[in-house]
Amino acid sequence: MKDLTGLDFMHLKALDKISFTLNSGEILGVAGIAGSGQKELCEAIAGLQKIESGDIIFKDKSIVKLTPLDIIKRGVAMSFIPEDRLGMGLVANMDIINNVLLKSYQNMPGIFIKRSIGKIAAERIIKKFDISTPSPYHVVKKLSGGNIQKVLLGREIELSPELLITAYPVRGLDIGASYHIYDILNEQKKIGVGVLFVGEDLDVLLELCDRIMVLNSGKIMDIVDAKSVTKEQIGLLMLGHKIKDEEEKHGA
Amino acid sequence: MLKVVKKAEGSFRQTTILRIVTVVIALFASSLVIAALGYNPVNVYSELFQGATGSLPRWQETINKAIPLIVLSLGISVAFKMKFWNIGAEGQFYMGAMGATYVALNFKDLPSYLLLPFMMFAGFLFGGLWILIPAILKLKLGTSETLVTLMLNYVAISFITYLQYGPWKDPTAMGFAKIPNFTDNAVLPKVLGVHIGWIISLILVLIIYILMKYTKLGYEITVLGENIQTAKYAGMNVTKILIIAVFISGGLCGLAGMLQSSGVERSLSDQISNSLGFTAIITSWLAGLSAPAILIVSILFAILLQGGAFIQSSLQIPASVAEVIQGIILFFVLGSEFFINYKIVFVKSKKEAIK
Repeated sequence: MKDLTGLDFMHLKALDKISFTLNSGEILGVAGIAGSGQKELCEAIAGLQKIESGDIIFKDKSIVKLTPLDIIKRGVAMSFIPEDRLGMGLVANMDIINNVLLKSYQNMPGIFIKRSIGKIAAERIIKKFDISTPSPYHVVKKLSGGNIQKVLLGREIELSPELLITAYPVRGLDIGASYHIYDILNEQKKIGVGVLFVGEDLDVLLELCDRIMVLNSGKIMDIVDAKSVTKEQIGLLMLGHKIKDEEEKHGA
Repeated sequence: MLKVVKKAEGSFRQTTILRIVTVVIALFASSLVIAALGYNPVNVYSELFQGATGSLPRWQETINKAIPLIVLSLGISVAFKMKFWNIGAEGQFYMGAMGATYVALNFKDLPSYLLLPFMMFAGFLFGGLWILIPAILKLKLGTSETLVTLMLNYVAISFITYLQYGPWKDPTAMGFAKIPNFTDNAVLPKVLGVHIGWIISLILVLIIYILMKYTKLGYEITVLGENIQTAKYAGMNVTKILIIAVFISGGLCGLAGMLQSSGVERSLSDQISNSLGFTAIITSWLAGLSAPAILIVSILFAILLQGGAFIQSSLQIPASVAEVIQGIILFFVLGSEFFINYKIVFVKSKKEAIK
């Protein structure tokens, strides 16, 4: 269903000739030392980064160089949950309703914004994802980290994406809230959504993902099967050593 | 030891109460200044209030002063909501007045029902174009709009002075440097003794309220003001929104200039604003950038301005006393912003601070 291929990216060399395929109903983990190009990769797919060359194919259609507005207007079923919740994904000083409207107001007809639609959606998200908030009129900033993340995740999942890109979705959350987020991602996987999961906890990556892509300095070191790989092997890949080389060295 | 700590933002109600308390404290502080100058503060305040509201003509004069303040504050509020610090309302006001005057002097033969809307259009257009200079400089070169809008005020005022002494000088004024008076069809008609600008400003309050609260554009302006990254992430066309919003802001300030030149002055000079564009920054900020609050705060400030002019003659007090009061209010309001966002805690000793 989903092919993301030939991501050639030379802008600041943050990403360098990245090619991979993400299938539907799969969680593809992205591992790497912080600053290896994870953020740029996510933003490139979401249309927030300049792309030098290459292509991104989503359901047989090229979506490379589409702006975020194009993606919304053309109904590309893709959601991006950025690393910086309050700095990018949400508006900290607005209430839940206004934050829920952020991705859907563009498609409303006319010049007016219909908050009644946002209120219904916000109430649905609060119920579905069990967000503890006094009301949908509560300012997002005053919620706890886990609830803030659930608002963001809830809004994006409400758009019924077929591709879900998440960058460090559990950063700064406690264990309980983190597991809640993993459950949500697993549910999405079960209904056939392709999930790109950028994470930093290797135990979680191994447990949650089907395959793990390891980045180093903007290049893909390898894409490995999460069931058979070990933490040590991923660690070495993150540092830029090919698994094979290491084995040879050990053998010698 | 004192230490400044950032505090959680209060609710709208708390902030409003704090602002009202601020004004009360400011009036108290002003009364000390008035007393120090040798006047009785109670007497001055009551006289000031009487002078602005004591009779129907005084009320009309107060409303006359409130009209440009309301329209200017509305314009400023649109830009400020986006965190585009438009300090150039004064200049946009003059450019708008200039555009309107150009139309008034060159299309004298039009009937007033065509000429007045044409003048309003010109006022809006010139005010809007004037603010596009800092907006485009900001977008293309990343300059600070605060500085550029501020400096363009003086360019605009000096340009009006040039017109007044040069190309637009009235040849029939016997050498006196003034721009010709408008013909009657270029003067705004009066309703209830005040030029029709008061109805226009009420309509504008309503329009801006709806624009900011219920339209997509208002939503986009608010998001952009809160966080430009989020705006980009949500697919907003940041450049387009900025240009449109800023044009509305400058346009409204220009329209205020048209209302003043046509409704009150019946001409143009480099004195018609008398720093209303700066006063409007205070009113806009005091009103929390909300359109209905701008209406109230502007009328209160107009009372202060009109009353200040009144005590000059009735109590032989310089009008600058009223300006001192204004200045003290602004000082306290800006100071209160600090206390809205921060609190001061006492730290007993260095050892304890480390703990």
